[in-house]
Formats: sequence, C-alpha cells, structure tokens
Amino acid sequence: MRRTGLMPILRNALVAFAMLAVSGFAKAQAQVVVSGTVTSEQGDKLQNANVFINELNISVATDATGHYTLTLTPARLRDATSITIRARAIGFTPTSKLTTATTQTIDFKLRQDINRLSEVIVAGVTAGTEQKMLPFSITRIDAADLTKSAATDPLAALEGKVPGANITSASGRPGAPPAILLGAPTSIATQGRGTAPLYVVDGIILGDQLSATGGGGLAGINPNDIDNIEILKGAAAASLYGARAGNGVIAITTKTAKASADGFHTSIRADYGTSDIERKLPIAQTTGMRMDPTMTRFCLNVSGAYAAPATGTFAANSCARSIDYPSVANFINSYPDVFAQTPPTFPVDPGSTVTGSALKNVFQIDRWPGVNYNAVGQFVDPKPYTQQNIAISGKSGPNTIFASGNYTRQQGAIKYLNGFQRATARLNAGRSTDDWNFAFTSAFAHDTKDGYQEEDGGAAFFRLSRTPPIVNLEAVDDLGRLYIRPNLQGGGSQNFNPLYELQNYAQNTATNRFTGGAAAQWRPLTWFSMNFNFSYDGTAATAISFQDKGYRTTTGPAGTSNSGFLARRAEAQQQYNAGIDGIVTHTFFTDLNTLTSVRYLFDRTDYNYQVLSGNWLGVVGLPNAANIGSTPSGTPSQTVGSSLTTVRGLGYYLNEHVVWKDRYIVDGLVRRDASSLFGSGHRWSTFGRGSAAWRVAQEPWWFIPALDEFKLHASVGSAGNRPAFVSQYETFSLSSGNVGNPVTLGNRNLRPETVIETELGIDGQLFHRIGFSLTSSRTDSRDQILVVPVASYYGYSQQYQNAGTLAGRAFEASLNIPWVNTTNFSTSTRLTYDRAKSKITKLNVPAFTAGAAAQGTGALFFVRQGEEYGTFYGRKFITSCGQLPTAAQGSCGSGKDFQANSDGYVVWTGTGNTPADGISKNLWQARLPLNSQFFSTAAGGDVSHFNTGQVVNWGMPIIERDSTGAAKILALGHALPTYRWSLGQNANYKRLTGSFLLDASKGRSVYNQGRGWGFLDFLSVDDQQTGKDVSNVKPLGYYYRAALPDNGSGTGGLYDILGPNSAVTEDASYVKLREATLSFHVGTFGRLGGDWSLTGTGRNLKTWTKYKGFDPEVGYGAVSGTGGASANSPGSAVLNAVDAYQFPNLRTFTISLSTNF
Amino acid sequence: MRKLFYIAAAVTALGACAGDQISAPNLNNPDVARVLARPGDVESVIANSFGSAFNSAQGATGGSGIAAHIEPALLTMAFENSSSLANDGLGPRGSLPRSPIANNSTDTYAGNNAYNYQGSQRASRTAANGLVQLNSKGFTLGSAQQDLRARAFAYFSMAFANATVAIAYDSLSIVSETDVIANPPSKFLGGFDAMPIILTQMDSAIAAANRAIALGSATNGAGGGTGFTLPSTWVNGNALTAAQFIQMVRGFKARFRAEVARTPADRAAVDWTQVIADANAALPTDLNINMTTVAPWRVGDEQHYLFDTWAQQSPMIIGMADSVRAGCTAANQSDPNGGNCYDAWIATSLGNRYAFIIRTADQRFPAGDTRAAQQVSSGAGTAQQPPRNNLYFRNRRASDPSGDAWNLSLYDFYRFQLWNDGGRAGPYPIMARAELDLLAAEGYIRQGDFGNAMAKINISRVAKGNLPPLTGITSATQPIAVGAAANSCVPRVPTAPDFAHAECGNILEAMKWEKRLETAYTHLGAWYFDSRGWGDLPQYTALNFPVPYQETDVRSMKAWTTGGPGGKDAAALGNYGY
Repeated sequence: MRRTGLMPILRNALVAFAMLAVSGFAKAQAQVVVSGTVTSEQGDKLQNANVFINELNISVATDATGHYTLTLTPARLRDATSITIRARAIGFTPTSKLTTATTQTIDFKLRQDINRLSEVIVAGVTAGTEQKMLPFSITRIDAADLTKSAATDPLAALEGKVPGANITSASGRPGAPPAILLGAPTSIATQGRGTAPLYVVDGIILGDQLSATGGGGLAGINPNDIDNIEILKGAAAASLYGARAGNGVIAITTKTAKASADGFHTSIRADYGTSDIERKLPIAQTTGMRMDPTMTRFCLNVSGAYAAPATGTFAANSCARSIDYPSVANFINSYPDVFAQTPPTFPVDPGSTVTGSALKNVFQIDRWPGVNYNAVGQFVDPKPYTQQNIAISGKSGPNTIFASGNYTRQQGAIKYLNGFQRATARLNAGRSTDDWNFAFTSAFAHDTKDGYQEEDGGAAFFRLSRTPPIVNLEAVDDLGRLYIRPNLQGGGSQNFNPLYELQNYAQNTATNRFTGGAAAQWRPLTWFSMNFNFSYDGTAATAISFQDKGYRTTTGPAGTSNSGFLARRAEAQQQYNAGIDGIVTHTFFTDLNTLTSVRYLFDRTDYNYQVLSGNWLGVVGLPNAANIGSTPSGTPSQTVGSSLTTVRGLGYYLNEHVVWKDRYIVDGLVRRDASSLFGSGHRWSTFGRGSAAWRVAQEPWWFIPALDEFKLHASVGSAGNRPAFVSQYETFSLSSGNVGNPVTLGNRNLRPETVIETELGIDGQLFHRIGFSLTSSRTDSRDQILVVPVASYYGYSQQYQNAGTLAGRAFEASLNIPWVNTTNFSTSTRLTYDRAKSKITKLNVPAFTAGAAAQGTGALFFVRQGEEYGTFYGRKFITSCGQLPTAAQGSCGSGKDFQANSDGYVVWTGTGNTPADGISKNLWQARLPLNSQFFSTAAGGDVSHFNTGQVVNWGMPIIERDSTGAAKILALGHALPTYRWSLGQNANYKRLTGSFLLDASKGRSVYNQGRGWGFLDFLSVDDQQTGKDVSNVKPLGYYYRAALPDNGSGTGGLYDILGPNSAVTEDASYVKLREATLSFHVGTFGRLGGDWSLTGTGRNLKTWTKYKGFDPEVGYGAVSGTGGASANSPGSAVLNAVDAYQFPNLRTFTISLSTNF
Repeated sequence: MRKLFYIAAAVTALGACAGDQISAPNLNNPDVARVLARPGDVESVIANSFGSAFNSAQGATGGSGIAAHIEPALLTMAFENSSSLANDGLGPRGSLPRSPIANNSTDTYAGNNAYNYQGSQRASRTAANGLVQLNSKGFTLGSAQQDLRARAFAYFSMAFANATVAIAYDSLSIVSETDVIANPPSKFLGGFDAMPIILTQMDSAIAAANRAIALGSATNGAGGGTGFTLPSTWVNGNALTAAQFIQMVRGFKARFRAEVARTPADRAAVDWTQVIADANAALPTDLNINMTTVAPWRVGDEQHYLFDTWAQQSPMIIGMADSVRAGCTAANQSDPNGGNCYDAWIATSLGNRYAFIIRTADQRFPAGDTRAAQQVSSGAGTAQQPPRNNLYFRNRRASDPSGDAWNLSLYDFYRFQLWNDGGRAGPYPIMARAELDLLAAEGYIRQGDFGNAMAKINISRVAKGNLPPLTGITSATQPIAVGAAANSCVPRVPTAPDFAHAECGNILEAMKWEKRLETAYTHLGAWYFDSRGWGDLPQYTALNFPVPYQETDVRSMKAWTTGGPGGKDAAALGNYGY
C-alpha cells in the first residue's frame, strides 16, 4: 500500500500555524477602552451578553451586573477611526452602534428575540449567519431544550422538537441509537449505508456508524456538553457538505467559554431516577388445552394413536392420563444434565401443530389452573437511572477553556441486564488574539451496554411472547437453577426460559471514542480571513457473546449448544478531516455586502473489523478465544472473519453569498467531490446550490406593520449519498482460504446518488412575538444505487448500478406562540407539523421486491416505477363482497352464502345462516363443498378425483385471490406516517418552571409480527374468548394458519402463513407524552452558596394508541449482509415498519439537582 | 510576505493530498485476477467446480443443511415424498390438482425456483473460466497429465452443471469456454436441444482423459499408465483413475440422455443404444460421495427428515407394493389394521382416503400384518436404524403427520436413516449401479430384448426385494404374473379405464418399480424426471421449471409459467389415472 502522506503534511501545516501565531503575539501596545452595560428592555441586567467588534476580531462578555469592558490596542485598531460595536445575548435581538474609536461608555438595551431570528447559524454556511438572513431552512435547538429530556442520546433528545426530523426509537434497549430520517427518503436501498444524516460535531465530521457491534451514532456524546444542534434537513442546505450529505446534516456545537465573562464557573448536576416499561405485552390468559374434569390437571396424548382427519377428535372420555403441570415442570427441569427432560405431549397443544377438528370445536375459554404468573411482570424489572455531571468553564483574557465530566448509567428495565453506562470527558480550549482565533476540542467517551442481539424471533423477547400465564419464569429447580424449560408445551427452543438466557448469555459491547479537532482562523485584513482545520474521530468497539460451557437447553442429548459459545468482535474506525479556506468580504455601494469563500477539503476513513466465534469450549468460565475447541469428530469449531477498508475523499467549493440592503439575499455554491467509493471511471462529482431570500417586511413600502418579519426563500441544491465500500469492486466469496463463487460484477462507472432539492419557504413573525415557519420541499434523488442481479450466465450474481430516481415531497410547519411573557410569569406554546413521502419515478431495472430481513419479511416492499416508497405488502383477508371471486359476489350479503362477521371479515355462512350461528346451529364443522360453484375453475381437472384445491371452512376468514386462485399480494400499509405533529408547552412562574411535550405520529402502519406469530401458538390476546357472547366466539382455527392450497393443516385463520397480512398490520398512530418537567429554582442555598435548581423529569410517560403491540414506536433495524433479499433493504427502522420482538421503549422518571458556582 | 509564504505552504501541503490517492484497494474480497493468479489456484478452481455444480443440483444451501431449491418440490411432485408443509413448496407443488409454477416475485418459492438454475450456471462458468486459463497460450499447471486431468474434469463439471439446468428447466443459456462474455446469447436454448452440446462437453472430458491415459502409457508417467488419478477431494471420497473417471462420465451420459425427455414420445426417441452402451460401461459399483457437514458436500436435509410433517410416503406409488390383500374391500377403513388396501384405496375418492397397512412380499418394506408388528419389523427400541440394509421403508413409529387424505401414509423413507443419524456425513450414493442397470433394462425393453431386460431388472428385484425373478416375458404388455400370482405380484398398478382397481404390472412397470425403489432420494428429481418421461406424473404437473423470472427480468424479457390446467408444458393425464 502507498502511504497517503497525510500526517507529514499536516505536521508541516501545524508548524506553519504555530509560527504564524507567534508572529501575531508580539504586538501589544497602548489601548482604547470602551465600556458600558447591557440590559433588557425591562431594565434587567444581562449577564453573559456578548459585546464584540467583528471586524477587529474582539469579543467580551458581560459580568453579573451586565457590565463589559472592551480594550483595543492600536495594533488591533489597525488605524480605524470608527468602529461598529455589537451587543448580543441569547434570546435577544442584537444591536449595533457605530462610533469613533475612542475611549467612551456605550450602553445597550436589547429587545427580546422570542423566535430566535437573530441566532447565528454556523452549519451549511461558510460564515456564521443570522437565522433571519438564511435563504434556506435550518432548525436550531439550544441546550435548554436538550438537557431536560432525560435522554441519554442527543438524537433521542431531539424527538418531537424538530419539524421534518423523523426520529424513531425503534429499540428501547439502553444505549441503542434511534433511527432517523430527515425529510423524505432519498435512497431506495440503504443497506450498509443507512438513512442517518452526516453528523458534524464542532466541525469534526463523525465516522459512519459501526455496524458490527451496534455502536456509532451520537451515543458517545454527553447531551450536557451541547450548546446547540443545527439540523439541515434538505440537500439545498446541506450541499456545502457534498457527497456525504444527501440525507441531511446534524451539526452539534459544544460548549465553550467564549461568550463568558472572565473567571471560572462550575456547574454540577446529579440525576437519580428509574426506568420501566409503560405498556404491557398482551398475552392470552386462557387456554384450549384439554384438562381433566377437575380442571386442574392436563390431559396427555397417547403415543402412537393414529388419528384420521375425519375422526381426529378427542372424545370426552379420552383423558385417561393427566398431569399436574407445575410438578412435571419441576421434574423435567431438575434433571441434573445440561438439558431438561422431554415433557409429555398434550392434545391441542398450543406449541405444536394442531390439526383436525380441534381447530373448529375448541374455544379458548378455560383459565389456566393454579397460580397465574405474569411473565412480563417477571421479566420487567425497573432499574435506576443515574447521572453525574460536572462542567467547568473559564476565561482569562484571550484564553478560554471548557472541561466536563459525566457518568451516566441507565440500567433499563429488564431483569439480569445492566443496560447502558457511559463515561465522558471533554476539554475545549480557545485563544483569540489580534488576528488569530484558535480552537481546540477533544472528547473521550467510554460506554458499555448489554442485551445485544436479544431482539429477534428466537431471542429473549420472542420467547417471552411464548409464555402463557401458568408458566413461572422465576421458578428454580431442585438444584437451585432457573428452570430452563418452564413451558411444557411443544415448540422446542421457543419454550426456552427467556430469563435463563438473559441470566446466562452475556452479550456485551464496549465502545471507546475519541474526537478531537484543531481549528485556526486568521484574519490578517478586515476583509480577508482564512480557516484551517484538522479533526479526528476514532472509535474502537468490542463485543462479546458468551454462553458458558454447560449452557442448558430445552432438549437433549447434549450437543453443540451445551458446549458453550463464544463470539468476539472488534472494530475500529479512524476518520481524518482537514480543510483550508479563504474568505473575502466586501461591501459595495454601502449596502451590498458580499462574502466569497473558497475551500479545499480532504478526508480519510480507515475501518478495521475482526470476528471470531466457536463452540466446544474447553473449560468453564473463560471467554478466551483459545478456549474454543473442536467438535467431537475433531473438526475445529472456530470461524473467523475480518474487514479492512480505506475511504479517501477530496473536495473543493466556491461559495458566493450576497446581501443587499439586508433584505435581498442570494447564495450560490459549486462543490466538486472525489471519493474512492466512486467507480474508478467516475471519481469526481459536482454538487451545488442556488438560493435566494427576500425579507419583504423590511421593504419601505411594507404595509402590514403587525407582520414585522416576513421572509420568502427559495433554494435549489444538491448533495450526494456515497456507495458502500464494496459496491464498485468485482468480488468472489472467500471462506477458510477457499475461493467460492463469483459474487459481484464490478462497476467502474458507479456514481454517488445525487439528491437535488427544491425548497420553498416562508418565515415570519407577528407582533414581534408569534413566530411561524412553513417549508415545502421536493427532492429528486437520481442515480439510485441498487444491487441488481445479472444473468447467471456471467457467473456473477449481482452488480451495483445507478438505476433509478426517487422523488420526494415534504412539508413542515412550526408555530411559536408566547402567550404571556412578564418578569414573574410566562407561558408559551410551540407546535410543529410535518409530512414526507417519496415515490419511485424511474427504475432502469426490472421491478423487484426488497425486505426488512426479519423472518417472513423478505419481500415486504416493491421496488417498481410509480411505487410510493415505504408501502409494504402482504395478503389480505376479504372484508367486502367485491373482493370475493366473481362467481361468489352475487351470493354475498345479508342472508346469503357469504356475510361479514363480527370482526368485519366476509366469511362463508351458507344461505339462511348468519356468522353468529356457529355454535347455536353447530356450523363450525361445516366446509364449503368441494368443487363449489364459488371457487371451482372452468378447467378444474378431474372432478371425480380432485377438489379445486382451495378449502373454505365455515366462518373462517378468506384470503383475497386472483383468477388463478393465487393469493393476491396487496398493499397493507405505509411505513411513513401520513403526518406527524408535536406540541410543546412551557410555563414559568417566579421560581417554578414546568413543561411538557406531546409527540404524535398519524397514519403509520406496522406489521405486528409478534401478534401474528402469537396466533400460531394461541397466545395472542385475540385468541382469548372469555367474556364474549356465544354468537361471537371463535374457535382456535379462526386464529390459526392457512388452509389448502397454501397449507394442508389449517382451517384458514388469521395467522395465515408466516408473512404479513391485513389482520396483523395495524395502525400504529400514537400520541406520546414524550417529556414533562417541573423545576424549582432554589437559588443560593445557605452557606453552600451556588445557584441551585431541583427538577423532576419524565420521559415517554404515556402513549395513547390503538396499536396492540408493546409499543407503536417500533421498527426493524438495519440488517446484516450485503446480498440476497436484504441487499436492497431500506435498512432503517424508520422504514422497516416491522414489530418483531424489539425492546420496548423505556419510561424514565428522574429527579435532578443542579447548581452553578 | 512571510505569512503569505506559510499560507501558500499550507495550501500546497493539503493539495498534495490529492493526486492519485483517491483510489483504495479492496483488501476483503478476491477478484478474478487474484483468483486465477497462479497455476495452483487455477487447478483449485477447477477442482472445486464439481462440488459447486453438485451443490447447485442437490446440495444444501449454505452450510445449514436446508435444501431451499427445487428438489423438495420435485420430490412431492413425483410422490417420492409427500408433505403438506408449505416449506420450499413441498405441499403446494405436490397438491392435487396441480397448479402452475408461478414465476414471479410474489411467489413464495421464487428463490427455490431460481436456485438450481443460477447455481448451476455459475458453476458452469467457474469451470469454463478454468478452461479458458488452461487453454491460454503457454499456460501449464506443471505437467501435461496435470493439464489433461484438469481439462477433463472442467469439461465434466461444466457438462454436469449445464445438464442439471437443461433437464430441470425448459431452457437455458448454455455456458462454454468459448463464450464471448461481453455478448451473452440473446435467446435461451431448449433443454432437449442443449443436450447434444452437453454430450459433446462430456465427450471432451472423456477425450482428455483418454489422451492422459495414452500419454501415461507412452511415458510411464506419474499416473502409472492410467493417465492420472483424481485427488479424492475432487469428487469427494473418490480417487478415480482416468479409466474410472471415464466410467463415471459415461454413467452420467446415460442418465442425462434419458432424463432430458419431457414426454413419453421424447423418452421413446432417446438413443437407447447409446444409453445401453454407456450404462454398461459405467462404474461397476455405486458412485458414493463422502458427504460432510459443510457445503458443498452436503445433501439438502428435507430428503432425510423423518419428522412428522416433513416427510412421508404417500401410497400413490408405494401402495403398488401392497400384494397380499389384493381384492379386498373398502370396509372398515378407519381401522389402520383393518380391511383397507391399495385396491380399495384407489377406488376411494381422494378426499376420503386413509392410510393403510402395506403388506407385501417385497422385503424393502417392513413385514407384519399389523402396525405394531411392522413397527417391530422396522426396528425396535430407540435406535432409529434399519435392522437390515435392504429395509427402505419404515412403518412410522409414533405420531402421524397431517395433510391431504391421499397424502397420509404410515410409511416414511428409511434407507438412509443411519447415514442421516450420523450427521448426514459419510458415503452417500449419488448414482446407484442399479440405476444404470435399469437404464439399460429400459433400453432393452424398448428394443424388444426382454431377456437382457429381465436379467438387469432381476438384479435388485431378487437381491434387494426378495421378489420372484421375472421369467418368460416376451412382450412389453405382458403381465409379469398371471392367475392367482397376479393378485400378489409386485407391482400392481392402477389400470384403465377407471383406474379404480390395480392389476399386476408388466415388465416396464417392474423395471420402473425397481428403479424407483433403488434410486429414491439419491439425486435431483430421481423419480420426477423418470416419471415425466414415462408419463406417470399427475395431470397438469409442470414438465419442467420455467427459466426463473430473475433471469428473464435481467434480460428484459417477459417471464412465463409452466404446468397447470391448459398451461405450457403441463403433463397429460398420467398412466396411473391421475
């Protein structure tokens, strides 16, 4: 490999900067002093207000009395005879005064800036720009809105606060990053790339998320360190970031002491709270299993009896043998070996295949005998949430420092899991001299979390959903061990005790992350400046999965699973960024201000991953790779894998920003980006934007004085999404030193996806108080990167191609109403609304299906021209007569052969019956005659021998089919909500402050796989028939699997087949009380001094929804692998709207005590 | 000026990061240049090509042991297995009446349909890539014999993989070493039309082996006069000499010539003289592959499951063994030990049939008049092992499976149980010698040579089934037994016009019976490909799989279906009346 030459180059550059700095320090001489006070309109003295002279690169802060002192050396004055002094404070409109460069006193009185129109935005622009002067939409969230959320992840703290940011906490596992989608989707297939935006922290571009250990994202950032977050949702705003910013940008600025007065300030905060799970997992409380006449013992199957279908019922007197469930559970679990003994088999066993007439004549109405345990209650174990935070900021003349330390522990709410622990430290330092600004930032985070990979059909939450009330998960056997198989029913490993797994299967990850950056700004002339920056983001993560030797399983004989299992994964990523720019400002004709900038950038990312795993451990208790052994036949059981990638990028841009009369704003940008991720035949791509804004209310002729700000803005811009590393290369499979088949046909012309956005917006303010913002955008995401199969004749199976266009539309609105704002009492409301959709408008390859990678969801989505992206598909049960086969439609309706039942499904009832007659007329056993005129086909074969293949049982739901009898695959729902809204309310009375945030999603559908699969084992709460009128009860088969032709053993029930259907696709609309806080400002606390506050905070407190799963805020995350059905997966939990045994979200309550010194 | 100098230096320094540094090598995945970089690697590619082709035909998909391809469906389509499970199309493909093979992205089994096609085409290409290297000027693996061995083997692998597709699918793009990859053929070639090319590729394999033999004889080379010996890993567990290699190839030639036929007319048109010659010149023993627990030498699991719902043997075919109670009535049907039998079973409508005890003279079935007795005969105790090596079927021991009435059976396949219990590892026949004997027998029957035919049939009929040998057959339609013996003969087959009663079969049926029992579960579509050529598949059964839509899609062609009422390539009413 060639060396890149980066380090020596940067070393030289840094030496150059240092020498420049030294040369700049030697100029201190006599001085001019300007001083004064800064107050609000009400006369309140404003501490930490910023008074500065931009052209002279000098800035000071006011002290507790609102006083400031600016000292200007002649060297700094640079012969200036007049100066413009500006004063700014958070929440106030800045004010400027033009004066002579002499010693004098200047006081400022600042007006409140309720809608933060004067906040300075630094992301997406080449120089800080006030919000009201932006020609595109950028949302900024300040520290105060973040730290009161009790969210450990900064992204989670944004939920409900940013219009257009669809943030879904798809997993409640402590430390799991939320999924995020800004605006409308821009990529069809994000497998391996995700939908996450580009994260920039203090100018440091963070590396992509680590996929192998579930790390990455923003989880390593202490929310208390954040000063503000700027969210660039569209490509127009994000075009400055080029080929990595197609999904938008989230830019975080951490705290510094730059805006503080001289001296040191310390803030301390301690939180203590607890987490639990708000909603319950609905599990049937009744059983259809046959019990003896005492209703306390369960009947047994007699082995070997052959049961022909027509006679396969179990007579009332067939309960010759029966067992006491708890006694047998104890017996089989107390077996001293590494497995439980095999339990007896039961007739009508919910864990086994149930066939025959039991499906039609057994109604799940019997309460389980004995003690009814609450498995979910045994599983959920509220645990502490604690946080300690200390921050010190200091300023001494030109030097500033900010240092913080934080330890957060969110243990979650699941028994035996320890949740998430994070320790962070940060040191930000700066120095400002006559013509230089230096900024250094560094942060270290160490976090650990467990419960990794417990979210799947087969892991702990799946097994929990298979636990009926009679099962005691906490029972211990005669040897003091947790039962391994507390559930005696059939079903093999799904009856594994989930608590045993959590107790004995360690799945831990640990991540260390260091981010650091150095930036220098040189302002040799009032009209010219240069910026230099270098930043580094390094992450190293390890994961361990360990089942010790002797791990118990549900059935014997002892085998691989009992031999122990160890997997160790390690991944590391280093990302380097460097850039240099030159900025020229000039004012023409007194009021035409121009800013021209040119920037050159370099980035490099190195990624390194290793994994090893194996069974057959030598001794107990050692998670050492050397402990992995060989199978009994002598085959080594170790498997290994690794990945080593390097990504290099270069870019440069030219930006021109013009403002005329402070009301006409034009911005233009052209950026060229090169990346090693692009095909070798297409290394460079071009992005850019053109933007304009008109502050109409600033026109002299403006005739609506009440509307004091009214800005129209329009922007067209582009940004890119890069291919994954492997995409451009020709590849063969490789394993154990053996080359396998060709896999990917290389593509040297692979280009990035180009997202072209057109954004129109209105920002306004009424009566200097009520702020509103409306933004509408359209995106055209061209050159979609898709994995396209190639003719197998070539030998390769696939190729990455640029093969389509995804067109998106998004709309967002926000409204800020400060109802009352007095010294003692204030209250305000903030409303947001957004909606976003995308459609595939062009596809250069044949239509195909893509999946979510959860079992049974491999063809959840259609990728075809005209398709609304995110629509998911499956089978539908007939709910109207028109969906029946043509031959049957005339026989549908009241009193006819087909009628709608109490659930709304059209079922076969036979003429003269109603769906309520099942029991009273003993109709459940009936079956539509073979070769019925309703379903027979004209060419139906030899009718004396064959039925038509489709079986319709009385009262059972009917699948909608096409003319050939094949089940139709129809749209079931949409992964993207129709719209979302939030309502935040704040109130303050003297020392008491309260707030709440409601966050709502409307119209999102979720395929509730957990509920659907619950039908299979008669454990879904829907199976429970108690409390129903006899006319409405349904037998087991109504919830069970498909009949012929799709399946031979079912009767046509709602489980149907493994995949999604309309019965288990649910409206997952919700309104959540996301946050609520109540804070009391204590003030100075006796001899302790300080400025104390006591705050109570709740997060995810209450969900209002009709959704039947654990939590409507759910999705299936990114999937592993890059081939097969998952290759073109949406790859994000926002879009993979599948509820498949994820951790439900945590409800957290905390009490926080904080003080400042 | 000094500042400007430093600024210029910094700009220059960052600029130096540009240049040709943008490219980054892929250090994770091999490409073709690396794969074929060294002669030894080329030989490895060729050595692995048959494993890849075998795995694409009947192997497990990955190392998991799951056969997510067309084999499970082929089993139920020809009653080699019956199951109502939806997995891999077991139930749906085998249900009656037969429905078309949906060929689109919404079909649950679309991946299965494409697996064998794509895998085989890729295996062909792998072998062809090796051949291209071998043929390149000046290239050698080290010696002329090594080159000829690799060449022979590559042609064989390529032919095997192409044949798999030509036989199972209605058409294909045949892969060869002379292709210009940049210009793939725009049309597909019918399977029947592809066979001459495949046979030519096999002849090339034989020719290379013969040249190696000649070279070895002339020079007394490393092959010791036999030309070469295949490393045992190439056809796992078989260190074949060049002569044995040729025998193996001729065996496959015989199989493929017969199996490619879609209809009885096609089968009749096969060059049976060549089939007889190849079959008689093939390996004298079973060709066993030493299966392992990992791909490629791993047979898909569905073939060997004995679990309740995965596998059972519908009486549709094996009921023809029911030789003891011929002439019984349908009374007392619900009693599994009662009066039912094959005759009554086929006289009952499909939806009302019940599994019954097969009592037969054929020793490949368990003995006994009751279920309990047959279970004892099948092997007592917990060890699931056949008590004798010619017990191919077992009266299932405990729970009975579900499914369509006609699917239900008291029997499951037992022959490879011991092998299955050993982790599906160890020698497993992928081409039984009996298959070749019976291919020759079919040829003799079709040529009117009943003496030779009887001799071939009697080999397994007597040794394995302990059935009376065929004697005195002089015509193809003549029953193999007459009078009272006809009621207890094996096989007894459903007979026209109503197909509601069974009669003693003729020599062709006796040959078919032997071939089905001796080849069951040995290779891809063992019963299916024969049954379609014999005209025994149920009406409307697809006679082959369509080119998978995944293939037509990438060529912007419209996909089509096969089978089903009125569909393309749908079977006519079968010889057995269904």
